[in-house]
Amino acid sequence: MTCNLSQLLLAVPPGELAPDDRAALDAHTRSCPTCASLAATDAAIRKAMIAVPVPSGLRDRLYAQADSARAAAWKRRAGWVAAGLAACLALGTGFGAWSYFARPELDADRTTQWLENERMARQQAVGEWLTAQGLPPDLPEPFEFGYHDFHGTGPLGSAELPCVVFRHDRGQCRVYVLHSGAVRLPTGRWGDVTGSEFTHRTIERNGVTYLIAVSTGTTLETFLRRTPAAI
Amino acid sequence: MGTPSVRDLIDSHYESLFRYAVRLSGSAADAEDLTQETFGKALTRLPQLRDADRAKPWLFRILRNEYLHRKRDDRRARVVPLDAVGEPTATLPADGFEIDPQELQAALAELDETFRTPLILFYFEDFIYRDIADQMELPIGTVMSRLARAKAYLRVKLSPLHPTANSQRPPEGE
Repeated sequence: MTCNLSQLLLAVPPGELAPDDRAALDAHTRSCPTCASLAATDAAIRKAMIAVPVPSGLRDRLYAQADSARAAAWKRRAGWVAAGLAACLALGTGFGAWSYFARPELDADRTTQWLENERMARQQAVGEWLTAQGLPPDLPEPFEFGYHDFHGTGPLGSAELPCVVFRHDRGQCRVYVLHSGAVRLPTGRWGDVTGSEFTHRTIERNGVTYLIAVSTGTTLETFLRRTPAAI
Repeated sequence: MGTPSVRDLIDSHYESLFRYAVRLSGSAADAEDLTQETFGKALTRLPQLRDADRAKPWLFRILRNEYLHRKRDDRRARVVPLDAVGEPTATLPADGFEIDPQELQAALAELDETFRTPLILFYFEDFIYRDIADQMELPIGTVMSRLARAKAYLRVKLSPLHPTANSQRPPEGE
């Protein structure tokens, strides 16, 4: 190997050097003081470059920061939900007031009916979407569609599956809907990219598997519709 | 491979990111801020990471962008003719040659960021030309040219046998 070639190879990032070239370069630098000097300088710079003490506790501080950021993100989402509900309530209240003053007859049920219509519209949209996926329109539990967040295909392991997501300020519930046996289902607790953990169970119905995953810290009942108390 | 969690990313990369940040900024305090900011941004952008094997260059790129963002108004203007950069004229000992990390930091601090970054990434070993070019959004040829000039400068600057080591001026500009 010539010194020119040796110095060209020394300029290549080590990760890009083929093993044969590496061996030839090493052999050359063992017999050439000039190239050995350049290689030694590179090695010394590399050693000094990474000689940076990492502060103790940095990892724990990064963990804490990540946890705090996640909590803040959840709080923000919950804030939007609360703001949305407050807006609905304000709208409902305003509508009620308008109804009261604009009409001679009291119509106290109208706001309730409007909210119920909203729920039904969401439920119907989900049902139509599931039908379009070749799946039954109804979910296997009486979910409260006031908590409906979104529906679409979502990742489960390496698969993308139809999924309906309900969100509550204490956590979320995901309902994956798939034809039975289509994928191998996860076992035990599992987490997502935000670090949230879920417990899950499956319901089989007419050849369809419903994988219901609920954030730890809350329960499925949180997301189900409660029967109104008798007045 | 699926998307890693933020804790996985922290475990695997926080040390090298911190070292990179120190070499880039020259300050341990700034480096810790940059490292925290990097993971903060990574948390919000995690769905953008399609290939977990590319997490390291992805994080390094976030950190560099954050550094540039902070230093946007702190650009120095030095011009050194290319022929001011040469190779050491004397032969250095091939064994037992040590470089003081503080001297290295001082030499790096004199370099414009456009030369400093490829140099640091080169000596962090894991980065290939393509990674460095991606980090800097430059053609590979430009990276190779900057790297060659920056390495030559550093070798001269840090060489104990070079008579002009202390007066060596850094390269700047294309």
